Amino acid sequence: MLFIFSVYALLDTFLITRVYQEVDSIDNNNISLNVGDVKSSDTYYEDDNIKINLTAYREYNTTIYVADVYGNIEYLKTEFAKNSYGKNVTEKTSSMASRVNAILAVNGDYYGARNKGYVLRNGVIYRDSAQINQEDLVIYSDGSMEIINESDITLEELKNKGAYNVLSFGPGLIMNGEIIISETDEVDRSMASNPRTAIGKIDDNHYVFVVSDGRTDESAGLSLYELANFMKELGCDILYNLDGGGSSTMYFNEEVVNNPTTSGRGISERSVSDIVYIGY
Amino acid sequence: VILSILDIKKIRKNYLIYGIVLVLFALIYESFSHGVYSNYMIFAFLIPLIYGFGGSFLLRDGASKFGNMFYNFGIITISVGSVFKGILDIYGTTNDLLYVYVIVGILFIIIGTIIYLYERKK
Repeated sequence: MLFIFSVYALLDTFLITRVYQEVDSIDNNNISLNVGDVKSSDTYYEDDNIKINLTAYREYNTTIYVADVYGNIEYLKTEFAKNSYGKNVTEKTSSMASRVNAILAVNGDYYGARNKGYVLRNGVIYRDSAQINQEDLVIYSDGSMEIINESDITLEELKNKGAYNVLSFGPGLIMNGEIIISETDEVDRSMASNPRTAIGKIDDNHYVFVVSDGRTDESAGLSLYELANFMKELGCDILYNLDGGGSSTMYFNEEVVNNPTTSGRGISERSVSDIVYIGY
Repeated sequence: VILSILDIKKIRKNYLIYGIVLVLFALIYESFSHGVYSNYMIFAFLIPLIYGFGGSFLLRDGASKFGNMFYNFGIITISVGSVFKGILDIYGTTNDLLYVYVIVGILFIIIGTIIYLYERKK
C-alpha cells in the first residue's frame, strides 16, 4: 500500500498533468504591423521597434550569453507552456518561443513546480498565494522593474500598482546597481556552479536576458554571486535569477543558442512551465 | 501473539539493514543531483536507526507482535516520506501529499505504542 501510494505521489509530482486554466495566447498575427526593415544575424536583430545584440562572454571558466534588448517594455512578454496554466504542463522553451514568434526567449520561473508563489502574467493573476520570504521580480507596464518580497505585499496590490508580469523564483541579484546577495547565497541547497538564467534592466528601454552554460567540461557554471558580479560590471541596475540548472535555455532568431544540460546526460533542452520573451 | 527474544533481535537486524539501504539510496541519488542536496534525503536513515533500532531496546520479551507491526509500519512510512521529501527538494518542487506520510506514520506509531502499553499492562 505504501509502495502504491508512493508511486502515485511521484506520478502526481512529476507526470500527471493538471490544466487549471487555458490561456488565450497573445495575438501574434499583428506581426504585419510596421516593423520596418528587419536586419538580423546569429547575434543581432533590429527593426524599427526592437534592437537586440547577443554576446557570448567567457568568464569564470563559463560561457555566458548576454542579450541586450533595446525597445519598449510592451515587447517583453511571457507565455505558458501549451497555452495553459497548470501543474506538470510543460513545453520546451524553443517550442513556446517558436509558437509565439519570439525573437528572443529564455525559460521562466517554472511556476508549475511549486504550489505557492505569485503568478501574474501579461496582466492576469493566476496564483495569488504568497510564499513566505519569496523574492519576486515585478515588471510594471511603465517599463520599471522591482524586486519585492511576497511577505510584504499582496499580488492584488502589485497589480493595482501597475504590475504586468511577476516572476517568482529568485533570489534578486542586483538592485539599484548594487549586488544584494552574499558570496555564499544559493538557490535552496544548490552547490555553487550551475547553468543560470537571469533577466534585468540596465537603463530605460534597455533590458538584459542572460543565460550561462554549466555542468559540462567546457563550461563550469556560475555561482549566483559570480553572475551578479559579472552583470554589475556590464552596468546592470536590476537583475533577477530565474530557474536555472537543466532548465536554462536561450532562444534567439529561431535557434537555441546555449547548451542546455537537462538531466546531465548530454546536451538537450528541458521542457519547462513558461518563458519570458521579446516579440510582437 | 507475542515477540520472543529472537524476534526482537531480528527486528534490530532488519532496522540496521533498512538504515543501510537508505544511506546507499541517498548516496547514489545525491551523486546524480548536480550538487543539489537535501537533509531529508541524507538523514532519512536516522529515523529507522533511532526510532527503530534504538527503540527496539525498549521492547521486552513477550511484547505484542501486533503493536510492533503498527510501530514498524509507522517508522517505515515516515522514513519513506523523508526520502520522498528529499527527492522533491532536490528537484525544487513540492507536493501536499507529503503530509499523508507524516499523518499516517505518526498515527501508526501511536496505535502501535498504545497496543504495546496496553498489552504490557495486562
